[in-house]
Amino acid sequence: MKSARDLDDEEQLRAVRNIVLGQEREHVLSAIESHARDIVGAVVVEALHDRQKQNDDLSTVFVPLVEKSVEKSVTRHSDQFIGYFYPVVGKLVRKSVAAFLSDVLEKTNTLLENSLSVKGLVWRIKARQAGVSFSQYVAAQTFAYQVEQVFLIDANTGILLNSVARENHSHADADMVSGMLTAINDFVGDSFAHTNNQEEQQLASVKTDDFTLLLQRGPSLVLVAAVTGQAPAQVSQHLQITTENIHRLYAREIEHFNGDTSPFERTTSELRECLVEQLNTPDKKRRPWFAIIVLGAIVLAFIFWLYHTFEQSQLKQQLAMLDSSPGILVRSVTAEGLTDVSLQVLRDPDSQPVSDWLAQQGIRDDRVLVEEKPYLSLERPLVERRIARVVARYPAISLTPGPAGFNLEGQLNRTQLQRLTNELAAIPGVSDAAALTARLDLIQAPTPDRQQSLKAMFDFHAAKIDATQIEFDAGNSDLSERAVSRLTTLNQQLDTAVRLARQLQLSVGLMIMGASDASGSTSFNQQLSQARAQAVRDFLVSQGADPDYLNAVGLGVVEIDAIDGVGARKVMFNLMDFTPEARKEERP
Amino acid sequence: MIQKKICLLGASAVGKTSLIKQYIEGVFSDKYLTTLGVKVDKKQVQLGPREIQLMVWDIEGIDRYCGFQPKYLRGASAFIIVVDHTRSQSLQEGMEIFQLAQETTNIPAVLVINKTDLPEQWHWTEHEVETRSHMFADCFRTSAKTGEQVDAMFQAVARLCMAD
Repeated sequence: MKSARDLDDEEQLRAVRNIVLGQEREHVLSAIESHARDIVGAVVVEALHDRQKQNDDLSTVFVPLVEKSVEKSVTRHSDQFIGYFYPVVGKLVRKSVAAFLSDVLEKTNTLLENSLSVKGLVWRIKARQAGVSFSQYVAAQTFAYQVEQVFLIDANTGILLNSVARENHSHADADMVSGMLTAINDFVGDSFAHTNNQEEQQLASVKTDDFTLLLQRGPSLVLVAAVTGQAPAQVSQHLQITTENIHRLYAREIEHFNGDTSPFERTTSELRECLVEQLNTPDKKRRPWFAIIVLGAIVLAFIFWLYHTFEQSQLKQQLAMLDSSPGILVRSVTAEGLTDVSLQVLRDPDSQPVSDWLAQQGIRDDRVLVEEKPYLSLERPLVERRIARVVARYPAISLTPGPAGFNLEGQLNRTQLQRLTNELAAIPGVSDAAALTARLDLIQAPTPDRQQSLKAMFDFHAAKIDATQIEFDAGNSDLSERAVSRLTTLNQQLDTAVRLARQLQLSVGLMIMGASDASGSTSFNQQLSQARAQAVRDFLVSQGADPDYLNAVGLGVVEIDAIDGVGARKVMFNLMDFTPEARKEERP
Repeated sequence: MIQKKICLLGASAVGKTSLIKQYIEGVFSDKYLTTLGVKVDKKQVQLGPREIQLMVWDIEGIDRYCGFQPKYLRGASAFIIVVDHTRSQSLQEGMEIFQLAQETTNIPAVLVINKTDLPEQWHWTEHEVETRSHMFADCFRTSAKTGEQVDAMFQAVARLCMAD
């Protein structure tokens, strides 16, 4: 309780104050008012500077004022503005067009990357499954989080005061959404209220698969942000600061709110600042080792394959050159596995063995699988080799080079000459044996004893038999009349030779060798040659020849180059002496 | 734009939802009514030169056995009590809801006697109805089926809100 003295003092003090300061401080106010412009003018710049340094409130207040002023000024003085902007507008347009083109290119590039890559296709499928647009799905995948839309709601009525959204965001009907959000909040507050706790429960967030609604509640307003991705705590803090700022800056509008939302349109800049986002940053430490290993293995395997394919190709080219070797025909060279090569050849037995040729070329024979089939070559080196082999059995004569290739020189008696001529005539590829022996000198043969005579006679008949050849028509094994005639003669010679062989105690046998030309398949030619040999054998047996002496074999294809159109369609003979002694003593 | 919140109240099956379904812009399914107990729709009303947007909170049918959610009335500028003139009970229930609402708010209320396209089947006399309707700021006889008086009723509600 104040005493009467105290009251009196206060009364006196008030009276003094009124004298000095005036009623309602009018003396002071009038003194300040008269110098107000000077006082404020002296500090206004510094004061604004200091206030701006504290926080962004000054900008927030000034931005709508400036925007409004500029808008008004441009509307009223558009001609003046055209004059101001005329000098810079050209540059502005060029820069704008350049920026637009750059933006279009960047967007096209991004679109192509997203559309044509595997990731893009997967995203398209997932976006369709999720029932959202592709652009929204890309945004959700690209950003760690993104605030898509912000609502400012009157907490009391649930009326939407303002809202902002991203350009690509589909606008739901924000009015009704904010109403329903308020209803949901009321429902939660009512349904989950603690009986012993008077404080009302409030929703802080609503989560769905696609987005989160963050609700920041102030005394009169609720700020709601629709966020895609994982929103960090900073977003809520940002919303809280914005809510506080709006409450402070729009306190009058909030207090007098009667359903008119137009004063809150100025909050757009504050709400737009809440549309924050953060890009997804890939984890650089994590390396896709599995993919690197798989990729590395694929590259190594490819290099390995490339190296061996190249090497195999080189080997195949090298082997193809074998075809130029006399008496060898390369039928095919094919790859066998990754490193080896399969080689199929026709080879004359008198030609160089394939293994020798491989060794000469420095090719490892374990890399080449050789499949040989025999054939008779009429190439000159092979014919010369056969002639040389026959000539070698006659020590008295020699082979010398001549104008027609080579000549035979030396001395032989008549019997030897006849036998040599017969032997040379039997060699395939020798067309004129008599011409070959024309330069040999004939000498008198020593008188033979009986055994030698018998042997000479045997050799003579054997040579006759060996020189006989039976020709056939193409693809046929039937004996012609001419063949029957020759075989009748041959049967007689064989009979004589067999009788002489018995007297000489020789063990002999007749090889009947069927052959075919190269036309037709290999298996058919093999069968045909066998059939021809067999036909001849059957005929000789029918003529009384002892079957034990006859041995029919099919040689298959015997030559490639045909002679006189007849080619190798023939059966040849070789009376063979199996006696061991006879082999030791070569026929002179 | 001016926006106002209004609430639609009444007993079950008096035609609250039908009343607004044809004449109001809505995006939410009716299932919210049974789950949340409320559905928010909006209706724009031209009031002279001004356009008013009414945010209409359609509140689930209230009967004697289920509670009333007064929180839904918070911030509303007016509310509408809907009754069905083919059921005597609905007026009684409507009046009870009206009294409950008045315990939490003093905003103006409008009485809507719905289903006027059907023959009247209640035993209330015109005088009794009139006596009760005097407790409201206004009274309308509407038909959700034909649309009779529906727009006029929302116009009147908008005017009440603006008079607030």
